[in-house]
Amino acid sequence: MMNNHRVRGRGRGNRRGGGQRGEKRAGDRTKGVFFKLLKDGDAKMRSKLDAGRFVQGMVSFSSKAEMLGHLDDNRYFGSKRLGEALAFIEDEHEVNEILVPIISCITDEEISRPLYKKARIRIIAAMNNVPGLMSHLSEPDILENLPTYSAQVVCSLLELIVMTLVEARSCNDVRFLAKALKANNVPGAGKVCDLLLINQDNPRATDQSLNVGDNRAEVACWVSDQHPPGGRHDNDHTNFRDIRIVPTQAEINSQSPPWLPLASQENAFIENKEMRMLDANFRLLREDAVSSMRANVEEEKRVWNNARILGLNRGYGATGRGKVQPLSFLVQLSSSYVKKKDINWERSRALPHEGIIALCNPVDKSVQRLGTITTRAYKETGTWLNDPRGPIIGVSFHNAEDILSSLQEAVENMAILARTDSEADVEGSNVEPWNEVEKLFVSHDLIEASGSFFSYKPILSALQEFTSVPLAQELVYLNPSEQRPDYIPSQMSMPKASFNGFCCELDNWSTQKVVDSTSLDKSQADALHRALTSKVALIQGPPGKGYWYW
Amino acid sequence: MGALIAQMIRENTDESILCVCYTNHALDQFLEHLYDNGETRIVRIGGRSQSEKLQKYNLKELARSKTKLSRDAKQRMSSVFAQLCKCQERLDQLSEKLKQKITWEEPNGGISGVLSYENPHFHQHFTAIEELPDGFEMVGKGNKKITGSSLFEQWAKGSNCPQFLKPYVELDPSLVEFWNLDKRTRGNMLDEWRALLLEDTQDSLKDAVLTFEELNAERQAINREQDLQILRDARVIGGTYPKKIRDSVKYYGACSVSNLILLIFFLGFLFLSS
Repeated sequence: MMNNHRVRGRGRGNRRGGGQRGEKRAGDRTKGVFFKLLKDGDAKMRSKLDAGRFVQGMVSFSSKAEMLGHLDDNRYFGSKRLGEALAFIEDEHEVNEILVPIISCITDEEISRPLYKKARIRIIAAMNNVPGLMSHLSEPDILENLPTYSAQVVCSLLELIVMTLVEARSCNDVRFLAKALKANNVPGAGKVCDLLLINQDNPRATDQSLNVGDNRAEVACWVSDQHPPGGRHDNDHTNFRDIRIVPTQAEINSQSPPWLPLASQENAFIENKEMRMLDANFRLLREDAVSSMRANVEEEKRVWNNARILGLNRGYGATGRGKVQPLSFLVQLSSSYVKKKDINWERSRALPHEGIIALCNPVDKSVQRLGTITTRAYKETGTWLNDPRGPIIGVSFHNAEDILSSLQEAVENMAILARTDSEADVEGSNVEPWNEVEKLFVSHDLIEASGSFFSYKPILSALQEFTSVPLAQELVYLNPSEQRPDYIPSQMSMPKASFNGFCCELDNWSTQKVVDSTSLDKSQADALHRALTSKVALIQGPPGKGYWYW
Repeated sequence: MGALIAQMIRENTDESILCVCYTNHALDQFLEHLYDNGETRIVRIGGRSQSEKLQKYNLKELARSKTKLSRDAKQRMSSVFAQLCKCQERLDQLSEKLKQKITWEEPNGGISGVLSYENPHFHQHFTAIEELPDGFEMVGKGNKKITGSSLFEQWAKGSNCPQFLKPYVELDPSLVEFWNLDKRTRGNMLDEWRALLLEDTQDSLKDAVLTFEELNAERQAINREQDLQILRDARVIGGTYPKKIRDSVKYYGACSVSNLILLIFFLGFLFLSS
């Protein structure tokens, strides 16, 4: 069996290479090995040599995207082979020959586009899951003998892993490797440590208590809990990147106040200033969104009774390319809302599209699940919001556990529905009235938690994706350069229409000259100079003072 | 000043400009001004524009009319889309199955299948009627043939043991008990059997749901690719500060000015990445 395969593989290589130059043929042969190992489940990677050939095959693709496509194809064995190849790494030579080329492929510019994001994450996860790889890499004999270039490449992999995989951030092996790389002064390792919030130079974060006493230097307009973030509930993490953007049920139910950064920075626990700023921005903006949700749930302003999950939305993922809908569940509200004819769904602001809803236990009022409204159809008669058995909306849930438990509930409710319907089919049997049947369902209280969370969501996730702050010198370190930014030429001509194309000499600026020859006044001319010669400039003033129009 | 600076940067350099305004009106004015001065590589993000001139420069409009996905993106998209459709079909099938009325024989062998495994005694009781030794058939009301299925339906409905069966049933105390169960208990037993019957279906549904979510996320990412291309080609990108956030800042509003500038960058990043 094995032999047959091999013969066939070789034969094909020859055929393809026939009539072409030798170089190309060699490339094809490496690719042949790559494809054979990739596609053939029975093929075995027997030695380092095989692993090396496999990696050579990966490198030989001129389009790394194509390579990623093959590697990620779920009909083949890409991630398995990758794991096998990585398992051959024993000393620094193999790191150079196997790991470094693989990383260079994965970190290629071409596949950093969003198009390949998912596939790349899957490959990175596969690499992270190779048992012992991370701890093996951090062994001193390997690390110290590694050429700087290779160490840097390893660092870039680590950065990718840390940014894409939540579980890797708390993994001890990963953290240890980051520390070890930093200890060896590998360029880029410092950044990885910052992303992981490892403060090696300054253990203050863990040692010094973050107590903010009564003698506060500055009065902050919000109160922060004294305990540093982490451990209050399942969504309270030290690293803000670990925080799930949509709050979890435990978070909403949690009684303890959150940790918030104070403007005076006296409770700061992150050493790197850029990370601290990202962290502060993320936490404050998120608290803006979440605190109002918490309040809405507590006050129970908008509660809908007897909400039950009836199944999957059959209209999901509509075929249009623009309409990407997550999988949603049908949630029906109590039939008592049907009788209230006064709800005009078209005009009503109740249950807004993309609003966040909380499903609560009707007895103890605790939040059981949070979901987003994805379908709010008011035009159809007889179904959706106008369903005679109770208004129906489409709700999607955000994590696997919630989806699965909703599914479980849906199945139970579907059984009840099927039974009542089949009883109704049988002639002569007395059908129970619907409001009695309703009581049988597994149901919740549905509370409208937030109608505006969707506008926070993209900003919060963008904040989590930042690895550094743009214009950090100006915004974080407050150390603006005096130089004219290099993207601005030294001579700039003003618009012809209103300014006759007056030419400004930025390096040799004279406010007087500008005031004399244009319609700008002195403060405007100064502002113009400042705006054009600095990377960050803020022009402000009361309304109507001409900072927008001249 | 703002418009002047933007105009000067536009005319004298190759840099792109991102403009984030507080209101839609201000943004429209700004972009219209540039448009009147001959700029056509404009992208306006957000649908609340009042301006007719700028209508065709809306990101969504541009995405619809102008750009096409690159070849590899198209390929990937069609592959993801095909998988998604398949997955969707499967979800439909599975959830239909779960909703289906459960009968003696349907689906997956029906109650008959579960019973023959879980409780062979009762199963035999229901089926025995079909195998009368001498080739006769039991005929009930209206000359309908009595089968295991119809007998089961009767039991499930909560009826009492039919007269003709009584002699058989009385021979076996467990069967007497079986026919004496009240409707509620029978319902519970039915639910139990039903759950057993649909266990596999449920598991596959779970898998299908998770696959669907994964694929959908990938599809979203590919769609972003297109927007990204449009934004890369643009020279002037305009957007507004999300209104909902504007209305409800309590904590964030108290941040320093630099945070606000930062926010503009985040918005910029956001536009470029999402």
